Amino acid sequence: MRGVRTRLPAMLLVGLVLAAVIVLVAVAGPILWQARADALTGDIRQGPSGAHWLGTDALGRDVFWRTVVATRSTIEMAVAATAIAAALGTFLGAMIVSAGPAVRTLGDRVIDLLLSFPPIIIALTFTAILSPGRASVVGAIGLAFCPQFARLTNRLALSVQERDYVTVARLLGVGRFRVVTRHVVPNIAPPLLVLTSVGFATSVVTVSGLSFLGLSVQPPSYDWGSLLASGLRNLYDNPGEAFGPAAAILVTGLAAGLVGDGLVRHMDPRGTSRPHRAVRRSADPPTAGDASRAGGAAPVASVRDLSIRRPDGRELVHGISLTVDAGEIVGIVGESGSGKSLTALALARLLPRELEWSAAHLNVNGVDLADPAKAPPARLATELGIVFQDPSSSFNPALRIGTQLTEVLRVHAKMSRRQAHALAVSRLAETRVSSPELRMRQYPHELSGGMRQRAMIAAAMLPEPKLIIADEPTTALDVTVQADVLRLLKQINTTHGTAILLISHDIGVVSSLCDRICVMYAGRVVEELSVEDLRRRDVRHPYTRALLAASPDTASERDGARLVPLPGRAPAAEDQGPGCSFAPRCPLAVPVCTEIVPPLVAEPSGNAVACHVETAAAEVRS
Amino acid sequence: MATTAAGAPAVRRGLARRVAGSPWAGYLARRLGGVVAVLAFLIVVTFMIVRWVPGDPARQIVGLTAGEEQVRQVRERLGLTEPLWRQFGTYLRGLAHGDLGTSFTTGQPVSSMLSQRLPLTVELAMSALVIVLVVAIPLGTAVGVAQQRGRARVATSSFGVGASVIGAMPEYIAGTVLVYVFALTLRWLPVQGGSGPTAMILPALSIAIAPAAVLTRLVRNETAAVLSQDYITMAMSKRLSNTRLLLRHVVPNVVTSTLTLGGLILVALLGGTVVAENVFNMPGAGAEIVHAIVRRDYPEVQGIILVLGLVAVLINLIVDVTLGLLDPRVLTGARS
Amino acid sequence: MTHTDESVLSAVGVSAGYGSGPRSRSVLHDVNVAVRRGGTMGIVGESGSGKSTLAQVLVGRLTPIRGVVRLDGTDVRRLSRRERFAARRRIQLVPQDPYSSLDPRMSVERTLAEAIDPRGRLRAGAHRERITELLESVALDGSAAKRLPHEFSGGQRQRIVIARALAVRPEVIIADEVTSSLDTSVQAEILELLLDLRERLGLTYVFITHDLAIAQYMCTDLSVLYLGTVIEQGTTDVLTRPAHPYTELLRDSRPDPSGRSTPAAAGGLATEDAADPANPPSGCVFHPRCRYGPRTHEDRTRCAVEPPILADLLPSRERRAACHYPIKAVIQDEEGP
Repeated sequence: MRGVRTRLPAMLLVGLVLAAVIVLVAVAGPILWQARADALTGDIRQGPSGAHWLGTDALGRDVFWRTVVATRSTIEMAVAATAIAAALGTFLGAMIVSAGPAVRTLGDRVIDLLLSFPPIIIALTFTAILSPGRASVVGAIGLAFCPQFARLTNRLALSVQERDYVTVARLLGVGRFRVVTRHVVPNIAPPLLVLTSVGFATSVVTVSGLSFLGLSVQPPSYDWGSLLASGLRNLYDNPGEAFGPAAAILVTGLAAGLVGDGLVRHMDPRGTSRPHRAVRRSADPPTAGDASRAGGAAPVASVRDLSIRRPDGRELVHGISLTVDAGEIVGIVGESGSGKSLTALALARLLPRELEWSAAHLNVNGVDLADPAKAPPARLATELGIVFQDPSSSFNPALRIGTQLTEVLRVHAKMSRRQAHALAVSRLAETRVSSPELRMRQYPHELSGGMRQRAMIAAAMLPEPKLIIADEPTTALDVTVQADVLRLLKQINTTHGTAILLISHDIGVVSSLCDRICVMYAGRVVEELSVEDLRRRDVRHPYTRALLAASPDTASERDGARLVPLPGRAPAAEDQGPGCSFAPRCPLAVPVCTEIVPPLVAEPSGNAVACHVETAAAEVRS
Repeated sequence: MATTAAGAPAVRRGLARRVAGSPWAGYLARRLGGVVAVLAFLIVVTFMIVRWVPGDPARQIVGLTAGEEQVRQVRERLGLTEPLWRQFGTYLRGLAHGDLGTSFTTGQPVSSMLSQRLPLTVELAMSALVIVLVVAIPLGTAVGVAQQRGRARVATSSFGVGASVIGAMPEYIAGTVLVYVFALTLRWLPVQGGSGPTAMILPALSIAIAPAAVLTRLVRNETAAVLSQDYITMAMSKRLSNTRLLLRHVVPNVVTSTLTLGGLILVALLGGTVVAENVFNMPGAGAEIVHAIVRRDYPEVQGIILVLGLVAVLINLIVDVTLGLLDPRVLTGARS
Repeated sequence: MTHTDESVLSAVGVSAGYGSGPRSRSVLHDVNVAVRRGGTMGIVGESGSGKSTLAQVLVGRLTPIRGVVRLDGTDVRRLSRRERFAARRRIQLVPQDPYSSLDPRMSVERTLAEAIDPRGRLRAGAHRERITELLESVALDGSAAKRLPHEFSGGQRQRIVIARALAVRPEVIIADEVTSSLDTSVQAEILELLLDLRERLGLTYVFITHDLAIAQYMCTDLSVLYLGTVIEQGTTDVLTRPAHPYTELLRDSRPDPSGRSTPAAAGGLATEDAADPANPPSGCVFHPRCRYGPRTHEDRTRCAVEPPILADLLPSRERRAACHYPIKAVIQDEEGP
């Protein structure tokens, strides 16, 4: 990606230089070299030679100079046709947008209709009406391409008009006309400009095409198309005669294409699009006190010293360790960029390919995942269930719910279709999806959001996994549906003894479902504590404390207390210092905090905290 | 009063359920409605071709030197002397009987000319269509997947440039190059004319090359887009084999999104036949329309445009139906 | 009974929707909301409740099918062109998405200048002081003026959007889910900023949110919307002591860090998903999900047939609920000594 970006200016530059040369030749050609192009010689149909670089035609005229001189005719026609298409199309598109809803619908339909015919057939129709000739071909091609401009203008203008900044400008009292000139035009002009350059390339090709067919310029006038047509007739004797105009057409098209492509990427304003959903940030090498608790049941999942790096070497997750015991619900809570989702994806072995990771130890239910080659797909698929964030995009839109639910059972558990189906239906019923038989036959878009998320949980539950990783499973849901999904997860945990690793940005969500909570900040676990302590607000790390102080609470006792915003921002991977990543925002920070990363130190209670100040205070206490 | 009030919504709900029960009914009804509208448009436009000719079309046909009597005769043959609505009635009645008028130059009925020439054009367009699809879908998917996995970096990054250069190559240049290489230099294939499958290869290729490149690039982009979707991560969590993941979860979605955008490219193949038939001197409808335009043989022009337009409408309909089969969201308009 | 007299902005019997003809979609049904001057009216609801549509109606972007919007007691439709221009500037909108609410091609300075002087009558440099002042009021550095929106984080963008709304010295700000795309710590910053501005500038807010905790924190009055109707209205004790079963469900669904409300606790009543807003249930729109309705009480068939009206529960306290069987505790509690 980076490579492409740096090459782009060159691409645009090459395109612009080529275009400039072509324009120069078009202007100067007929003035300087008309005589050379029209001179008849005795050398008929000669191949390329020193005297005639591209040979001669049937009348002994020099093909190279004829091609050069023909540039003006072709470029003139293409420019005129593009101008007609762009002007008329943009105008029509704008008219349709600004008209009433009835006209708008009708206009849309008409554009659709015109676009469903090949442009060349539309051009031929107009040529037939206007009778063949230069002017009519220009008009015909202009008309044939104007629906494309109308469509683009229409779409762009509509989408810009729906933007909030246009709404707000109107509310501020900015007049309709000023909104168009200040907001709509600047935001739709770049794509239209790009289409114009692409349209010019197409016009050159089509203008030459119609001329090639003998419908445009008539002898003795000539352009690239007619030169190519006669070149084709003499192809056997002098391939150069066809090569000249063909190369001219291709190079012109290429130049316009390069300019267009270059513009596409250059004029795209950065910042119109949202940043990627998973904003990944981070810092440096590990120091992880293994905070996993001694004794108890064997862990279902454990990871030690997990680090995740971007391809440029920046670390996003810094050697974290985490254990989930059988039947336990562990929550990871953190804000965007904390690395919580990456950690979950790493545990599931689903990290995007471009990210590198390493771990001293990565074990899910006895399967060693640290060595990719050894991870058996069937065990991974059946012993680990995953619930994703957005149920509306996590089901394949083209497949029925039933097909997607039974896939793992059919492929990995080698169940028969009927067995798998029956099991899926019963799981759907268990997750309280109404009419499960019907749902199996439906497509994802036919289910409501809450229904889809419950179906996804059913899917994760199907092979009876020991562990479910739920990555922000309720973020996309309404609060009442969220409550229902949380209840469902709790119920699965109680009845099936399934361990759950819940990732969430919402401290309320984790505290209502989990037994134990890991708080992550900038790629590290900064605190690990039991849910009881969290609910009592008995937290140690200043970040956890700040997070609680910044969360509004429905509890009435906090009435009157103001929220305490956390100053500053989480550091990006680029600018993390050597010490604690929270130090710059921390009210308790002492000099050592900016120098040494505090290790995660376990307390006798089983909780753990990574903070120099807190650890020192605890030592004093004990 | 009470009974009708309760009964009417019940009936309406019953109907609604039946329509909702089969989304195809509504979808096809909408599509066919569109087809009818396009047909009406085509008929009106082809009818108006002669009428929109600036000046006197009859004079255009016979030339400036011809006598007034001759012009009058032609005008009568074209039916231009009658009022417009009567002319349109006659035109419609003719169409209903499959009568597209008589050619000025050959005196033959246009319909019989078409029945001789159209099959070749359709065959040519279909061959090109097959080439485009067979090349674009597998190649585009492969490049998209390779790119996403960071394999063969040089090949995948030069692919974009190659595709845009080839995609900008018009049929007549592709045809010229193909003739020069395969017919004149290598002598593997016939130059022009001839019949049978070998005669079809070069013309079909010349039409298919540019759209295939454009479509391959589109497929590559769509593949990359599909691969970054959440449902692919979900499918990957099922630890399926690469083949299953690709065939089951990636390709169907790539084909739908490609068809939505690429339907126009397929329709444009039809335009390509006009040029290719002229390059290769093939006796198809596309070659004939050029001659007809030059000779101002309006009945032929009308007939050929009407029929080519019909084929375009059919291709669009096929694309829509395929989309409906592949992506159920299309049927209910849940996906635009 | 109604506080039309003291309310700066009110919607009276408003029904609204989108589209026209057979494809039209009705979103709001007979909504009454009165915004007290200096107060913060919270509009709370889940997706499909019509809360954003109500915002559109209040700012005048959407004309109601029935009912009127009153500004200082005057029907806005009765205003002359000039009056409407002035009226429009008194009510400003802060939209949900800080990414689409700033023109990507306009610097902060130009964005704010446009708000100060929408008709472009003054020289470009004339607003420099005011722009600095505005940026300061939202705690942004003056150096922000020359930069483009993409150079800012979500929270900073939201500050710029607020500054733009302040530029016209509005009386009412309609904040539509302003923090829903932000992280917890950034959200707190924006909420505190809004509270601070309310005090300093004497603003009135209409605060639209799906988050009850935020509503309770920010608002003085609340209207709870469900499928396009107001089902409960009153001061913030609506949330602490709900009279409508839906408000109660909302309150109980909100997990909070103190663990007082733990929706994940097993044994809760399974809830149905909200109905399709385009096809609401008969009678009380909430009855299929209601734990006190016909699902559990056989004698309460009325709920499925007869739509309840928003009735005063406690005339003295301005508390209304649209429920045939409002939760008793509230009434008894209030009627007690």
